[in-house]
Amino acid sequence: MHSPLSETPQGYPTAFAPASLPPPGRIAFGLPPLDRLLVPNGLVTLRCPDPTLLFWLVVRALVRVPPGPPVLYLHFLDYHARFWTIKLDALVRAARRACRDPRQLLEQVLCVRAFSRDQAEEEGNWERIARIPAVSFVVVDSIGELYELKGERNQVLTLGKLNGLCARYGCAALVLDYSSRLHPFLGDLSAVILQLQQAPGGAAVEILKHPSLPEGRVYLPLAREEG
Amino acid sequence: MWYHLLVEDAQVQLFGKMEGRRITERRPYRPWFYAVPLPGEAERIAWVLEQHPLVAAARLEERKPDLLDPRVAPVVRIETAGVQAFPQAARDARGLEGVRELAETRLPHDFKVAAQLGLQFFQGDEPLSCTLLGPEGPEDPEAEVAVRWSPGGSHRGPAAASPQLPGPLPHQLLLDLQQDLAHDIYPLDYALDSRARILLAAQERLLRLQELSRETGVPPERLPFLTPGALNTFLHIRAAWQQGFLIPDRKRILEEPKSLALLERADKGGLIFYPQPGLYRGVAKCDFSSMYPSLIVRANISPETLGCGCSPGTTVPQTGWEFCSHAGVIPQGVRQVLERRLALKAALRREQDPARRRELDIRQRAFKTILVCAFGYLGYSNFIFSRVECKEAVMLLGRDVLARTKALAEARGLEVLYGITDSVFVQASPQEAEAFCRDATRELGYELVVDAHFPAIVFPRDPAGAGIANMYFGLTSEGEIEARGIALRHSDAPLLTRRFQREGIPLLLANGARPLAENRQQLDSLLEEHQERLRRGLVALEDLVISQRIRRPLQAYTGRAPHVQAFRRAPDPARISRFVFCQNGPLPASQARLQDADIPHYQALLERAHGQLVNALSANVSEQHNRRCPPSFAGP
Repeated sequence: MHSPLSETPQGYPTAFAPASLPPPGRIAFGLPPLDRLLVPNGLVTLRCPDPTLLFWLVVRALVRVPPGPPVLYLHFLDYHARFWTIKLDALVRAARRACRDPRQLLEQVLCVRAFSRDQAEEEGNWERIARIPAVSFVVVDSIGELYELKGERNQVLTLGKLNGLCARYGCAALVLDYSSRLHPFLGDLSAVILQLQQAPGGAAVEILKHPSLPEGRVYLPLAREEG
Repeated sequence: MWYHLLVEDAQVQLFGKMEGRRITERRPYRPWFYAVPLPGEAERIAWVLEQHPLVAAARLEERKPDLLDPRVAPVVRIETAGVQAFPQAARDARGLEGVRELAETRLPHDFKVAAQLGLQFFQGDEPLSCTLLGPEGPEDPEAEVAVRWSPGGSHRGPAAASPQLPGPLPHQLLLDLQQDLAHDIYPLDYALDSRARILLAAQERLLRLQELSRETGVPPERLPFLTPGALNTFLHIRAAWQQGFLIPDRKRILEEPKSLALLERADKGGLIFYPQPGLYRGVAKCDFSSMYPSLIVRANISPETLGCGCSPGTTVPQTGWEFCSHAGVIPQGVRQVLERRLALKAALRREQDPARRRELDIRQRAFKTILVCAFGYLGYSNFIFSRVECKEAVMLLGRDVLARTKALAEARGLEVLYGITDSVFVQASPQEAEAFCRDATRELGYELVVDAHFPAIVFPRDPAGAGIANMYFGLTSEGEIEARGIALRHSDAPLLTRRFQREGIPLLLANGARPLAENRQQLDSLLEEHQERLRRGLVALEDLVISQRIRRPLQAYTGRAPHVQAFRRAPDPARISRFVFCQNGPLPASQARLQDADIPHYQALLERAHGQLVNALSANVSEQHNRRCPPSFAGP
């Protein structure tokens, strides 16, 4: 059951100090240059052809979520594989390094597995999501899989629903995008769009869209920790 | 006995046979569907639809419109004037205000009418005569079954590749041996190269048809073209009808959001006890008969029984989910098929006559894939009755049963060498194994039988030295090779390597009285012999051919996989790439020549095939593996 999202990328930190938790409702990766680019509300689209880098960031965000409302993980990846592309052991190891209780963390991540192509099932799933009273933040993994599932004509509605979800819960959504082309609907609806690429000793983060920062590039040093 | 029906617009024609004579009946048929109304709207909707020009009748009924709700509710049954009127009537009903949803608009008419008339196909022992469909039509116009098979036709080729033949007569059931999906499931073990064999194949297909049509209610003419999954669906539709449920057009059972903690506990596959690599002597393979279907029936696993609470039932380990004991739709459907299959298997075990054994085997195998689908479809979201928690529950209960089986074996002093999902390999004499299976069956409530005895069996190792699930090879006490996961079992391995392993395994394992090192030497000599023949070009080109299926559209392949490269040069309508590794790259088998073959590549394949057989053997195999093997069990 190998997942492309499972491995800690080479050169990335394998341990870090007990996580200082961000304020409720804020996402944080524990990487200040990147955390400064995040917003508390709306779609934050992370684009990268390397799924392992994005999943590594998601794991960092998950172990930093304070105990409280769940994280809503919309898992569209590999529809027929359903659950198994989320590598639990990577999450558990990260939780232990962050001095978090892995069991509590796993209880706090609420997973919705891929909607089928059937319209009734999609509507029903949105109804179920709407019944969740509060959410810390949302992870959409991945938006490309959602396009494949839904086809062009449903994308606007679905992206709009994601945006509405963020507005209703007062939170942000991490939208993972591995595709080569930024879809115009996603470009329009996202509050923040960051393009990530592996670079020597770290990652290059290109700001494609931001409500308060100009387009530009940020270098993210990711030195491997000793021991 | 009815064997065939034809649906016309507002009637159905039935064909049967009684006391050797053909009988025909015409009965009226008014295609129907249901409208499930919003609360308080039933009477109005019935009245409105009654006025519709294409509707013959609209009346209120009390049915269960929701699979997860056992209560009946008023629904409107709409009967249309005929099959032609049906689509428009359904469209208009769907758009009517007050209609929540429609039901049963997507079911085929022949299936519905068979259910409505209570038709039981192939009841009784009237034999059906088969005839070939020739260029002028059926050779025997009086025969009940017309068999279509084009000369030079292939099981794998589309019918369009062969000349068009005329259809059967109205009273004749068509058996198209080319389009029949059963050939994918149960490939024939003989070529259809004579009239007699074609008719024999038809008679054998009829056995399958009879069994499946009786149990699922699917009319015989539709059945050959249905996948096992579709048959599974029809089986459970019939079970749902028997319990008063409507079949909705759209699935309404959804998975609740689950925490990762619950998913981690619940979403597990079958239990595996990994083997210690090595050679073992005196091993019994014990299998549960139809374990997952039996679990479904015994634990009453069905979407509507989960969390029902109406009665105490089964609690699923790890999750605390509870299934009530009120008979569910899925167990009801599975039970009838399972009981029929187990009865046929029991008769097969008792039968001595080869012809009768073959017939019983064909009949029982007809149900194997339906029973597999009965489990798999529980988690398939396009199955109208699926609920993924049911599938997870079956696997969790299966894990529990296997774990208890291991504990029972060990309590008796039997070592469990390997276990996977529904079978365990124990080091035991045949008598010990039989006694263990009897006691385990009684204790656990699921039938455990000895499937095979191995005087010698090898579990290969992976590169890290660990045991591998689903990989072993051995010789049974009948001298047959049984293997999993090695080249011998790979359809994409060339004949060269498969033949090597087929010849090599008996050399390695057959003579248990001889030191293993000597047997190993014989195997090494065999390898050298095969390598020499390969080097000298003393092999047939066919021995080097590798066959792989092209499963996706060609444009979806972005790499340079050898089978795709070869296929692009010589596409085959059957989408099978048959190719040979040559010095300049992979070539289609039709274009390759022996002198161009990449001999080092095939030598490496032979080495790998040899390695699979010996990698678990050490130079000094410990006799501890023999400690429970009685002298009489040293080998075939």
